[in-house]
Amino acid sequence: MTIEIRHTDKVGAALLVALAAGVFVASRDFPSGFGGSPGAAFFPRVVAATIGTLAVVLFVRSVASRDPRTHRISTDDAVRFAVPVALLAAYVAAMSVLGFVLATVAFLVGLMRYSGVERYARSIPLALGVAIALHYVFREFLHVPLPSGSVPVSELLPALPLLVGVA
Amino acid sequence: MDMVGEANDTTLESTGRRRFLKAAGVGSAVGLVGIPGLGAAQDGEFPSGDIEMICPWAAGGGTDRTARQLASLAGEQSDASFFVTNQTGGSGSAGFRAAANAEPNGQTVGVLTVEICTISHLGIANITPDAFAPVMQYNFDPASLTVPEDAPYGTIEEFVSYAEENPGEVRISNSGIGAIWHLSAAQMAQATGIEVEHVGYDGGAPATQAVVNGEVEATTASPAEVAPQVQDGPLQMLAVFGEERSDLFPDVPTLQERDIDVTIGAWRGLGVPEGTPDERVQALNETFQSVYESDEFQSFMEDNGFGLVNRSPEEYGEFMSSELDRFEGIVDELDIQEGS
Amino acid sequence: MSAIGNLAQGAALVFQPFALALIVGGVLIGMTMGSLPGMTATMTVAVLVSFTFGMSPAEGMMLLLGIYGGALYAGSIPAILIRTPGTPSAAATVFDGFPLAERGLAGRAIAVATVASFVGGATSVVLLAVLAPQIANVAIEFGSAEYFALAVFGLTIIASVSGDSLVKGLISGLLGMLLATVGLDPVLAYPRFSFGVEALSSGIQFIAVMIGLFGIAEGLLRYQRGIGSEQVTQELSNVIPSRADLAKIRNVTVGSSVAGAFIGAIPGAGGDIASFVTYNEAKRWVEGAASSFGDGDIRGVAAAEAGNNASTGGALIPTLTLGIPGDSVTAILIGALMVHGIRPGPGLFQDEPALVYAIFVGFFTVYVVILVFGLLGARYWAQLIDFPGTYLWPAIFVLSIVGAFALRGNVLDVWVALGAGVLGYAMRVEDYPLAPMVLGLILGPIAEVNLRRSLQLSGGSLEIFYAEPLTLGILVLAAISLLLPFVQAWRGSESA
Repeated sequence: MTIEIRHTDKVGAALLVALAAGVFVASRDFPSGFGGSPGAAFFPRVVAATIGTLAVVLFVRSVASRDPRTHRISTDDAVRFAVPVALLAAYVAAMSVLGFVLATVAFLVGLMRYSGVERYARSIPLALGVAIALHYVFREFLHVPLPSGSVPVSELLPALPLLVGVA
Repeated sequence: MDMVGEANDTTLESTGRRRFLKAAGVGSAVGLVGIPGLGAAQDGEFPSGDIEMICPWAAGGGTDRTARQLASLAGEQSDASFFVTNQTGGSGSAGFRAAANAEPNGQTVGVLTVEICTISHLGIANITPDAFAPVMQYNFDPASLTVPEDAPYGTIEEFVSYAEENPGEVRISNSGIGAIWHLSAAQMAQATGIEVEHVGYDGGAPATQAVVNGEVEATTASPAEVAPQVQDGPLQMLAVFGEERSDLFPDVPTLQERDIDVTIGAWRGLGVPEGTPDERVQALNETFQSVYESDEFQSFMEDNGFGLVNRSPEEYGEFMSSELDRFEGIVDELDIQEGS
Repeated sequence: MSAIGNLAQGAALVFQPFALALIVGGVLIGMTMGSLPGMTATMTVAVLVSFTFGMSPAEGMMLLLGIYGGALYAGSIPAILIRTPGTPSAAATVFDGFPLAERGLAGRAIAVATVASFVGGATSVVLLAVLAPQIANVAIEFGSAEYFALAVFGLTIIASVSGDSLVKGLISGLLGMLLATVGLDPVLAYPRFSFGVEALSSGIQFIAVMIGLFGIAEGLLRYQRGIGSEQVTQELSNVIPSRADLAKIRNVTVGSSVAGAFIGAIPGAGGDIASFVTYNEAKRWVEGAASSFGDGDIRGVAAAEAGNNASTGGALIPTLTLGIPGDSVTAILIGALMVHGIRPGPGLFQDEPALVYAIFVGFFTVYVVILVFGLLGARYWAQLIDFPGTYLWPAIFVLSIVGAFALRGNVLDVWVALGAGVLGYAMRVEDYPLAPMVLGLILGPIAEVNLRRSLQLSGGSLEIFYAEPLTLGILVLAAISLLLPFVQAWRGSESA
């Protein structure tokens, strides 16, 4: 099945005009400046007004060109875009529950499977390796604790004895 | 971008990796038992286990450096492993909040800076010292007023009378609107009844440069921040806002000496989440107090231009609540908008 | 301190085992990623920048500069071998590089590309080291009005780097400026567009947006188009340039190096524009080039490669002296330094001379390393071209997510990166260029805060913007650079 989205230029332009209008609404309570300098709303409004104006130019040009920009989006296309996005979103959401290591392994194995890596004997060790390596690099070397989640997997990983030697 | 930037952020040091390795090593020594909150559940010899110190400002900044110095010396003096993490953003509020919300068992210590008493009034974040049980204050850096050498005033009295005769003409730069040096200048102006224009810059260095370039008439900052431009440059310091004169500029009077009743500046201390058992607070205070008194810490602070001021948990708690009230008054009189 | 003293201080930071290892590691990573079609220098630096947060600022810069130089150089390898530039900057290398490969002369072409990249890069670093301190000396005197004018000038350049669609380029830049207004107002400390979310009150993290725009968006685009790998194998033998070839490319390489450095110094104009310009200029000026360029002339390869690598040192000139990025990679370098609390600008040369000179010395060292690895190892990198994307892209996604998280230990930044990824994807599909958005993100706040501060200083009078000839001059230049593309477009349509 193929969906045809026509006039994407015009749709884009309309969205930009809406954004510009939204900025004006959201900035109506911003405080004004003192000592002759403009207030907090001034700059975002100038930028938004310019965006709105340029969007109108795009719209008019698109109408004048009589050749509407059209995207043909097949179901396949949509799926090929949506699956990685959905996996990424699920990955980020799962990180605070499962912790970094488990979520990363699940994400990598899932996405590699989707990308065409058929053999789990290959993808699972790879995913484990990447996740554990990153866990150590960030926790021990960079000292940025990655989310541990409520499943205590990362706590089970021993600290690196090597670094004690360095210290 | 944090507008209310850290006060003493101008001097940075490149000891990153070694510092991190050291911190990492300390952290890993406990290995498997090092699960925060579990490692030292039973009492006896607290402090023990992993103790996380949450620094609300970026790695390499003044607060971070003092906190890491405290952590490494405290680790040497006790059985516990102290390590610093940086949770930055929201003018310090992210780190304050993380520390305040930690389990109140003494295993998490917040590094508290003067912003804990200002950001609630500025409408930046709704967090105050009430969320913490104070442990110790270890630093105070007074503000100072600095002007060009060729300015038409050479003393603080002349400055005040010039500003009285030319209301609104004197512009004072600071490291960011709402930041401590802005509030310091504001309190000085309020106490003397002069009308000045406060101009915010993005950090202490551009604020000082603005006086050198003649874009503004004066700047407020800590003495250490403006020292290079005063010692070998075109600026002169009129007054420091501390209780005592600055070691760097022994000839510069304090405001109090000149009958202006203002002492104000940036400070740093430690606190644990409200509700932490008293004996743990006391134990942490004893550990950090002996670190504070060590020669190593004293010389670290002096070498890096950080002022040494020490308060006990009770004194620090009283000090913070008086600071909280004081800044409410300053902010109310200023033109800064409260956020919604 | 004297320049010599500063150089010694900088060298002392670079010539240490860990810093040198980072340079070599950075070059290797950069060359690997640059050899893979679709992996740009910007993307590699964006997804790996978080690894530098735990290092000292100088050490972090060594790694990132190694990636920067290595990726721009190695983009030439697939350009020559399979007609697909590894990075957009190597697009002009295809014109003469691929015909040479078709004739079985791929080794010769890569040898020339390696030498030209080295000469271009090294020349540009020398120009950087000579010019930047002088510019910083002048810029330290700049006040708020001058900075406002400079930021506006930088923003108007968006018009000339927008490629085919001027209006879309401007919109992209403006969207960047708008995005940068989220968070605390820089003058009044009022949280703008944070909608009550405290984490948003400290603003959208620039690096998170860059990770989304250049890492995640590229990955999404790949997946949507299908991630089949290029099944090409190329045997490479001799990659040592002959003396005759070196003599033949000498003049064009040196000329393109100097020109490339100056083009790179224009904000927003990166290696892609530099190599097209130097290639076209060489075609006009070099003897006999009009007929032989495009047909496998090694001088064409040399012109393009010297030009794109020379843009790197040039791009660092405005980055370090004014805090205005020369291209997308240097924009991320600004973000990386700001994570350490260091703000590039003229003050950097006073406050952190050792860091500045370490960047000069380190970047020169990067190009020496590239020359060695390029000549010795090009044949191995040639094998990488068909490295399966099925493994690579999932890993890039993970690095993007982790990198965004590591910024502040905050999940909100990860969602920002993901959102920027989807936005970047949509913009790519709709032909909105991304480079202007990067300029807008960095220059928007500079323009705003200096505008408002200037007006506060002047008590609301606009005179502050035309009283000083320098400020006025920069603003006039800005107006010209904004209008020029419109005039050209209008004249183009007149004559057509």
